[in-house]
Amino acid sequence: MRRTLKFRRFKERLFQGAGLFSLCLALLFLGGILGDIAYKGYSAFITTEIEAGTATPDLLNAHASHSPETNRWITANSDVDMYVKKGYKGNLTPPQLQAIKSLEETGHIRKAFNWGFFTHSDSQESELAGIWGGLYGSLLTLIVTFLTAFPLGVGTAIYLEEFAPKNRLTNLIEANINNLAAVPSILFGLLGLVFFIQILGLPRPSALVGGLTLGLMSLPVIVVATRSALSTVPQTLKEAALGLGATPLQVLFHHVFPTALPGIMTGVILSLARALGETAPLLLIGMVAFIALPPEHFLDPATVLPVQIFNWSRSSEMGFIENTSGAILVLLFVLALLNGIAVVIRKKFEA
Amino acid sequence: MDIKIDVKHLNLFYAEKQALHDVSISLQSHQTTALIGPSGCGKSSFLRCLNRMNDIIPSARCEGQVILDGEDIYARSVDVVEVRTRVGMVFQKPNPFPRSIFENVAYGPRIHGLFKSKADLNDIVEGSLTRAALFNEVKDRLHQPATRLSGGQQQRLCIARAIAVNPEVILMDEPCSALDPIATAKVEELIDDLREKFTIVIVTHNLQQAARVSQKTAFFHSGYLVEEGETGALFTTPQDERTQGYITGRYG
Amino acid sequence: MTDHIVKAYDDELNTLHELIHHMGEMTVQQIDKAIQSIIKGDEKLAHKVIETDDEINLLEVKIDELAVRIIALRQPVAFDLRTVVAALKISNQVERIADYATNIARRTLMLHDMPHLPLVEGLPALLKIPKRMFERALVAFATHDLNLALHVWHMDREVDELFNEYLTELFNAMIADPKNVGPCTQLLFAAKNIERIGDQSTNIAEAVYTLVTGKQFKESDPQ
Repeated sequence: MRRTLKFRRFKERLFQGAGLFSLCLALLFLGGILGDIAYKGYSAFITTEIEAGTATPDLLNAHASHSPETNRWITANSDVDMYVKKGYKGNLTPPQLQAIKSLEETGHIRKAFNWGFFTHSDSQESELAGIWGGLYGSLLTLIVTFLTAFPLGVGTAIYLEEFAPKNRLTNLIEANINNLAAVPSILFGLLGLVFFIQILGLPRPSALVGGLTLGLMSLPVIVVATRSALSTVPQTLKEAALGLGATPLQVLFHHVFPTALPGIMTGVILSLARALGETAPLLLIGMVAFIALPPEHFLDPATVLPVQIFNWSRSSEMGFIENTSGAILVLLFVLALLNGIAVVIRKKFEA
Repeated sequence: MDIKIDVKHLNLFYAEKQALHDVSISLQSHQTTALIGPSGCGKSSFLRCLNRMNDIIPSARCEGQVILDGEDIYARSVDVVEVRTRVGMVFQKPNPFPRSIFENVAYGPRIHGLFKSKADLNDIVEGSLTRAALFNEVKDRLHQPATRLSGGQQQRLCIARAIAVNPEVILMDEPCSALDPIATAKVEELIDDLREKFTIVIVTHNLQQAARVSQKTAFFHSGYLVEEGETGALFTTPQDERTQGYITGRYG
Repeated sequence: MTDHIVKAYDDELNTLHELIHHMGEMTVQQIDKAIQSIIKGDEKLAHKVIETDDEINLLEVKIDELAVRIIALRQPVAFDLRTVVAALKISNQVERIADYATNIARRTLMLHDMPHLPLVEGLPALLKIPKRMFERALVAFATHDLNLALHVWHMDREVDELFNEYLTELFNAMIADPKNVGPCTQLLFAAKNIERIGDQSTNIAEAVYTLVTGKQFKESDPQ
């Protein structure tokens, strides 16, 4: 007994050690990726500005306002920006470098927080490009996604879980919904392209089409999550209400749904978070086009944040590499926020 | 003594499996009838036939009659909601709603619109809690969550909730199996009090409990009603060999 | 009847039966010895019978305690409950019968200074049926034999007849010679005790009847 116990203890330690090792490895990779993105991206939130009237126009951004009355600090062009922030000389000539040095010495050049990164839309110039267009497009798209997927998904789940007779047909539907949840998202893009754009003729790169496509993609996930939340509602609770003479609909809305709601909301938020990060299906329906203005309504041409990241990442210009990482940081922050909300909801109602 | 529920030739099937075989029994008003028998003998299934609780199981099918005050509750013209309002139920595990004590008791009256004013509802809640011998213990915390009560208090709350809709019959499915002896004694005492106003049917695995609380006892065995009769007689001179074996602890 | 699921319960009920069996056997011996002592005028034997009665009383206490213990701990119902109740009743009745044996032994001591009467030889014949009733009643309890119990109950009539005959003989002896009044009175008491053994045995038979049928015994019932 003693001998085998020693051996069993050894196995236990080995198993725990292996688990710890893989955890450390995963943390290392995650830290490496996040660190790299943060290192490359933090500078996107900083911009270089030159005091009006102290520098020649060749150092300034061609599209920025140049009148000293309205704008005392003018955004420098991307070469100057890169040189000041990271020390890359780029296309700058020696006299230009000399001018920057003297500006630095006299304090006529400064680094400021890059508000433009959040308030501007896409631009050909990396120092003027911002994520607002993508962010706002994402918001509109998600609203459409939520409005379609939530009622449809929750309704389907409630019907299947609480009312549908258990027969071959419903079993088949159930199995298919579970399979749909695992279908690659690009196929939903194809479906959106054919159905919404070619058959229904909806405007091509709009938030409406994007939202509907993502809604289709989220639907099975929401159905599965909602069903599992509904199935955790104890049978005893339903029986208690039925025993008092409540109708099935009253049981559903007074007891089952409120009890399952935190679970449902968690599932919905997580599936929305997944939709927010989705790129592939949106590329197929044309949301990849360059759009310099934020959409005003659901039918306007729009893009979303992940697609904007995809677009920027294809550029070799230093400024856009920086912007790519910056946008990724923003996207990750929003996703973490959504997941955080899901956790908070779950914790709050679990108690 | 009036007959409250008259069960005639009741057969119950779960899909192809027959759970009850030709059960006929009369339940007297203002009496407590105890249903005893080994696990899986059909006593709980029988209890659930009395308020059509088996309806929620899709494969369950019922034949025969359950006549409540002269009307078959399985007749087409009878609404199941009405049946369950007249025949209340208390379950094995205390199952209060995750709401306040007050709202638990008020739920039934609310869905059936049994009160005219807020004061009316307060009276119903207080009266039901008092009848369930719980009011004094909870009167200072009516608006706290019911889940904070002890197991025994929760079960009495469930009884209060059941009587708040003013039923005629109360079915109890092993109401004390999750309770300690003191809480059990309180519930048993309560059952005896409630008999004045309601007709009670109780399923129990505890033979002493059946002997203590009931006037009539029915013994079920593998889906058959083997023997029923006055509790004192059944526990001293059972007529059937199987009843004898079961209540004396010789059942194999 | 099959065994209980809880074996200790069976053990306790068996012990209850064994104790009653043991108490019954001892009481039968006491009766035999008491009659022997009175016939032979054996005072030593008579004293022994009187002393042994304490042991029987202790046995009754033991049976009572065990029965109460079973009721408290096992909550017997149906046949088990009736067995325990019957055991309580029967132990009480056996104890009374043992008391009658002691009483007969006491008569031996009282007759010491009195003239010997040949009538004393009639006692064994008188005892024969009550003793058999007692033994059979105990067997009926041990084997739950309803017919045997009813048989015992019917035997009591014969005992009554024999007792009345013996009584007449005693009265005749007393009328014949007033000196016989003293010893005859003692013999009268002894005969009465023997008759009471029969009565108590019918009580045991009635207890067995209730045990087996679950009904209270009514004189009109048995055929």
